[in-house]
Amino acid sequence: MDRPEWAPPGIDVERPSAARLYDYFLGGSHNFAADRAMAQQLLATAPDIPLIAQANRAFLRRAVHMLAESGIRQFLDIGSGIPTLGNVHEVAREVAPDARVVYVDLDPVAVAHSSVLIRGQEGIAAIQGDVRKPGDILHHETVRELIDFTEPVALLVIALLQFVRDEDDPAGIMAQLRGALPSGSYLAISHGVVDGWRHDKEMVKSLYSRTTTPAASRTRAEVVPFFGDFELVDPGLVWVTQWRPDQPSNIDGIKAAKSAVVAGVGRKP
Amino acid sequence: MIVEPAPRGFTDGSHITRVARAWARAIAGASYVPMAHVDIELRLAGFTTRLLRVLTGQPFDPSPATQIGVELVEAHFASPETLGHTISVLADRLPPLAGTSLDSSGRRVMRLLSALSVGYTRGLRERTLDEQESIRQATVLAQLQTEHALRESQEAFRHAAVHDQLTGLPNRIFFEKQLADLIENGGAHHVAICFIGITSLQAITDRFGHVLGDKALTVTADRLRTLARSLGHPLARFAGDQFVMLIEDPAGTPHLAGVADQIIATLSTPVHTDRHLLPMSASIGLVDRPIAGMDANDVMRAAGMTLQWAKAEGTNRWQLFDQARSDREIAKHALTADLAGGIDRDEFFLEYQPLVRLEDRAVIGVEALVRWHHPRLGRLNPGRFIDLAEESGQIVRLGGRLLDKACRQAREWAKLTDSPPYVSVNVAVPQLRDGAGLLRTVDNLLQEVGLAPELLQLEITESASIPDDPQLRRTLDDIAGLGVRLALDDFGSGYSNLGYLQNLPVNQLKIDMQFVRDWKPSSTKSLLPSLVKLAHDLRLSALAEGVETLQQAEYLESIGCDHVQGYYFGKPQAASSITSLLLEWSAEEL
Repeated sequence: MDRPEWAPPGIDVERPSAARLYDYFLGGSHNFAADRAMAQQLLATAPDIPLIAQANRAFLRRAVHMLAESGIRQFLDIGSGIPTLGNVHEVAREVAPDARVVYVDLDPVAVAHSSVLIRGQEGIAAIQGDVRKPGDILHHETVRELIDFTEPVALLVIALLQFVRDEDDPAGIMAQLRGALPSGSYLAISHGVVDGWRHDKEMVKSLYSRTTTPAASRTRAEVVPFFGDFELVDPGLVWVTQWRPDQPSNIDGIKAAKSAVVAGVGRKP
Repeated sequence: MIVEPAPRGFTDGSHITRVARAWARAIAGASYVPMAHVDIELRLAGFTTRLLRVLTGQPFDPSPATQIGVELVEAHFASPETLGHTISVLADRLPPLAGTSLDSSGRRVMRLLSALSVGYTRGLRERTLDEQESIRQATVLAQLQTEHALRESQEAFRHAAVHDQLTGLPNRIFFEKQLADLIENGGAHHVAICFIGITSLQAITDRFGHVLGDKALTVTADRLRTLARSLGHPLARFAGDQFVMLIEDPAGTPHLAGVADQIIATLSTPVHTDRHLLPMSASIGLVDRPIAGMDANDVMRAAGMTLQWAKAEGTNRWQLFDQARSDREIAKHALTADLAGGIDRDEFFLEYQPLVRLEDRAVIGVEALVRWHHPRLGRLNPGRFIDLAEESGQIVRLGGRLLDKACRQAREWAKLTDSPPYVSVNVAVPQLRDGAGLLRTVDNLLQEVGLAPELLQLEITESASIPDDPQLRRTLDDIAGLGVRLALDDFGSGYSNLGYLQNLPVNQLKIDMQFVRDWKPSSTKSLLPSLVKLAHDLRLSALAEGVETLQQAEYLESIGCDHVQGYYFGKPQAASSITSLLLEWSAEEL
């Protein structure tokens, strides 16, 4: 039977998923043979990917920590992926036990996994959603239940936008998401860029095109507009390891530019 | 993170910290640990302290190192490289920390690291298996959720396909399926269809627009739904303003009548909106049939027909299906369908009835009367089909054919005698409305046949539309202009606006047969003298229809009536009979 248009995306463990690849690169085993096979191909082209993934994950931890310290109590994490280590609610609740978090991912497996992980924890939810339909996310029943859009919100868009191609209008999507947030809200973005990329980017792109979410290639300059009129907090949009590092050395094991990921946090005036 | 105190006598905290720092540096990047760097060092310092205690314990027991291996993985220091780097760093750094050299403590360090490796790999294996298990479960869960969502959306789609969006009621497709199932599966013996039309709806929509129309419809639907639920009968929205209720095994006609009355009472309550009070009305057609041998399509057609009957009765009425009436209507419908073919096959013919001058009983004209020789039903009189021909618009074509026949026949008679009769042909209002067409037909015919115009008379029925319609008036004037006679048929039976008579270009008033039939020799009250006088005052000749007795004829003569028509003077008959009649007369004259 043909899959009708209104059906949610199917589950195909034979097809690699960006969420499970990310988990693999972070050292997790929440993945399948198809994911690992592709991960090996990616690693052959770009052996730094695990380090980049780790650096990105570390940024998320630092950003959420900073946001919780700044008084943010509600987090909307779009493209949350397979919840591996150091999830947003764990980091946020170390600072603020009453923090509320909604995880959003396109991958039904990621959402199911998150649901199991957070089962029984009040104030935390995982929903299936597509960032390309921001209205659906913003008006989702669960989102409306847990997130009060009259109070500052932290919107987390971590390592997501590189999987939204230009024809899907990421600028419009981000404008709509920003527009839904009240003054004093924050937006954290990390984005894989081609500026510092030393590896064969076409190869990586073509590999990702086999996943459910093909990759887009952008430069740092092309990432800046995603913040709109939000004011970037120090140190601005920088290489992901340079954003408020918690150790002075290069102990993350990767030189800044090699990360090929830029990251920043903006505040809505 | 609490740093456990180093075993006394061996070393101080700063040494431990240095080892932990070197360890952290060595394993950095090998796996992701969700901790700030300072916390990582603290955690590793704790492990270092415990390992040092194991290494220097008396007697030596390496087994606690296994647990430390497990804990390393639990703290997410979990990758093959992490183990390799850990062994390298600890093999180098632990002996000096313990105050010995690797050589002297070699065996202990080896057994310590071996125990640590066992714990580490065990932990890693457990963790991998757990994660594999959890992702598999998540997949199964997601699969179930997806299928559930798919089913729900399909369910919703299916529901939408068989339900009406506006009212949420089952739609026609659903209802027809329900009826078909009932017929197929039996269970009930009888089923009644209650076909409900909300007759006020169209007017509401016309007057207030679709929004209010829809509002009235949804309120109506809600009322009906409530009633249907309380009665326990399924309800559907059939189409537009039509609803249908299915009643299984109704307890007789009184029961059905009760249901219909209830529905009408429920629906005829006005609907309140913000600004309007909308009057509501409904009509209902009821059909009650045995299930056995039932044809769903036929029963719905019957229900629809019955609803039309109810509507024709007036507002807020219901009607019960009547087989005889239905048969008549079906027959009528079939006859209408036959008309066009009948004209094509020339199944229509004319009979002629003499129009007689009272003065000398001479046949001065004949009225052409149409008959249909129907292939199945035999000979049919105009009463059976003229209305159908008018309704279906076939009258114009049929009328044209008859005019043609009549004119040709008139021409035949004109050849036969010196005083030939004129032929009087009935013309229907649709033919008159086709004014230019009729004028052209008549003009062409007269030319083609070579008939003197005064030998053709057109009979028009007294009609409400003639005086007010300048177009019709013009047509009559034009026809009269050709020299063709005009007669006003059935005078006095219908609409009588005497005023317009003065200006109508007619030659003859045909007094309706009712007046003659009602006259008795003993009558003191009769309009006949007045009607004759009226005709004469207007300088028209008076013809009385329906004369069946000598008495009637003599009376009419006594009041000065000019002409008569009726069985007494001759029935409608074949042209050949008229010909014989004319020949007799000519012979007598000779």
